[in-house]
Amino acid sequence: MVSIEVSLDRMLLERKMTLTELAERVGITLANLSILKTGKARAVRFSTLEAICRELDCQPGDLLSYQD
Amino acid sequence: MRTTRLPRLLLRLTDLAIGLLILATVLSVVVIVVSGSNGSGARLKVPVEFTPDRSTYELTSSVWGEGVIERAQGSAIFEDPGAGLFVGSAVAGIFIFIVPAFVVLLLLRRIFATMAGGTPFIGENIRRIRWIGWLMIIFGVLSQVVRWGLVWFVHSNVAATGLDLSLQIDQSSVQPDTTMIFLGLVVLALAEVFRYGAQLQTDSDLTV
Repeated sequence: MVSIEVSLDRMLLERKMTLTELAERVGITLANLSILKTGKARAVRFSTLEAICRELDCQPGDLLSYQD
Repeated sequence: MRTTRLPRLLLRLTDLAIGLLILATVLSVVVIVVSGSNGSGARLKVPVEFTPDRSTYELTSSVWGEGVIERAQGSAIFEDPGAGLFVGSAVAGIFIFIVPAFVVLLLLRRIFATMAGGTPFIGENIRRIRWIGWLMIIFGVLSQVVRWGLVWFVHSNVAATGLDLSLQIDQSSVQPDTTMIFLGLVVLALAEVFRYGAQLQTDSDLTV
């Protein structure tokens, strides 16, 4: 089980953006972004993380946290 | 995921093979039913070895003089062994050869269908490939067990008097079909490759 939590919901709420809009801006499918949002992703490419941080104007640490 | 035309071609070839197998099975069943009702009309031919009676022949050579036939080979023919043997052999053949072949073709068809649709590295295909491997191994053993049984049956029901006769087939000549068993093991190993491939496929699908 992956112990990395993704706080995408909180960032989307703060930036007043929908998941669909973010997916379009980042250039990945809504299905893939949903996989990330629901914590089912096994890996994230740096290119994807970079694009998400660019569109949400945040740091990777704002999105990802490690839970023991 | 882009696919080549090969999976679709393999799918069509498998469909053709399944169709031909069904046709062959139906024809076999018709022949069995007709033969069973009319009397088989089949001859039973058993390969034999025997020592000919010296008083019945003279063997000479202009170069080597007189000779003698120690052992000769031929066939013992039973003109009308009855429908039971024929029908029994045919039914055994259907269950031991045709049914496993049909199951393997169906499994292959489903595997090729997943290839044509995208990726073959799914859990279902691992199970199907394992099934094919085990069926091949079981067939390699079972076909020879049945052959051994038929040989025993013939030995038990053929006797000759006034002639030194031996059947050219015996139980020691029946061995497990090692080629089929080996191929079955290779297919089982292939299933492990597919299992690893499915794991990689899942990792790839869940990489954002």
